[in-house]
Amino acid sequence: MTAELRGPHGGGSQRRDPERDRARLVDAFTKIAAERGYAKTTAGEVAAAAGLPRSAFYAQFSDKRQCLLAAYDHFFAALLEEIEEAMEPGAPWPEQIEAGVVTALSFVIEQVDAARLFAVESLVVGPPAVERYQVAIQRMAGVLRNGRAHSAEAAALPVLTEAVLVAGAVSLVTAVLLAEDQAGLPRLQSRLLEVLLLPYTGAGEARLTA
Amino acid sequence: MRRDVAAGEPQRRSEAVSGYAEDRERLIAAVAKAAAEHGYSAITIEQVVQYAGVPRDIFEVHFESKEQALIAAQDAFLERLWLDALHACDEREDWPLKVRAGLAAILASLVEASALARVFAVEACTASLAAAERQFATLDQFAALLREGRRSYPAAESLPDATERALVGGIASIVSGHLLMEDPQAIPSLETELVELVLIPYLGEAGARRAATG
Repeated sequence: MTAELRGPHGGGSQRRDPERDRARLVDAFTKIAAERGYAKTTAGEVAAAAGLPRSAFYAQFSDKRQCLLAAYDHFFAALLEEIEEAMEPGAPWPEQIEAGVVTALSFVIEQVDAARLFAVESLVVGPPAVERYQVAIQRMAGVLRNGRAHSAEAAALPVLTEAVLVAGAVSLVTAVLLAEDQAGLPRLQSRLLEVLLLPYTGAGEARLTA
Repeated sequence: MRRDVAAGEPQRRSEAVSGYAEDRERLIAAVAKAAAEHGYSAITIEQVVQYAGVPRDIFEVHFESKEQALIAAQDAFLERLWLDALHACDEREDWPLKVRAGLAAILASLVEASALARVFAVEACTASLAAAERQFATLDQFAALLREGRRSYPAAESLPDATERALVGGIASIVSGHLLMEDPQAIPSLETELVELVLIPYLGEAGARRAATG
């Protein structure tokens, strides 16, 4: 989430740092749109909240939609990075998945309004958001797919298994976000874990790990 | 959906009632048509009354707002999907075959009415919280239906509580992706794998594959 501050910004220089502007605009957009909804978010307010002139917004994004997509990318890149960091490569696979689930849920809990914005509202921009959603699902599915080495039966699972499991887990999280049931998010931890492990380990071991 | 007046019944008493119901049905169909053509949020009441061929004050008798009419049309769409699935299930005896027929019916309905499905199963949820809640309630409904399988397979009693809801939600999300990408023709090719996936927790991998492909 930290905006990268790169290089010295010499005093008196009028030059903007485009990357820094962009990061600030994305942060401001996420904050405002998460609070009041995408539809009620305007470029002017985002720029003002970022401490930049409105022209700086349009130097970065042709419209509000482009800014939503950039914010979406930023959110999911950070989420996936944290998930992948949390998973110890040498650890047993079920423990890696557990670490991933715990990390993903705490990320969502910490940024619950932004999570709701991206999980529900962002589809409003249509295919570009869906493509991004699918890329994110596939990336998480790739991590889950390592579980096929866990048992002989798991090796024969349908190709779509991981995509359906991950999308199903996301759907469970989204339902709780939609119900604005804050207390429901931590409770999801064992439920998600059980569901994700089930096809690979069977119900008994999945419950044990969860 | 349709209310048929039984033949031979005295017509007059029910005329006012059936006129009301017919208007509503026409308005709902017009909302669906307009939304499929113009997009969920972009429709206007003028388009709806024009498509329905009724004056605007009739619209106002039935709905307080465009949003309310859209919700009613979404309800009709989801109800139809639900009934299609139930009907297909009823025609089979064995539970795995019920699942297979039910899922096939849902996918076929979505492909057949893909423009409507995109509007009411995907777009609506991004435009209105009330619409998203309805969509999620429907997922819960299908998950509860699937859960009946636990009664036929005692070993399934120990399945994680969220199994059915996760499967239904996962499938809905994959199918929605194809609808939103305007790629509905890819949906039928997913059917066998999706049926297998749904059955695996109850029948195991080999049994599920047999039931899905046999």
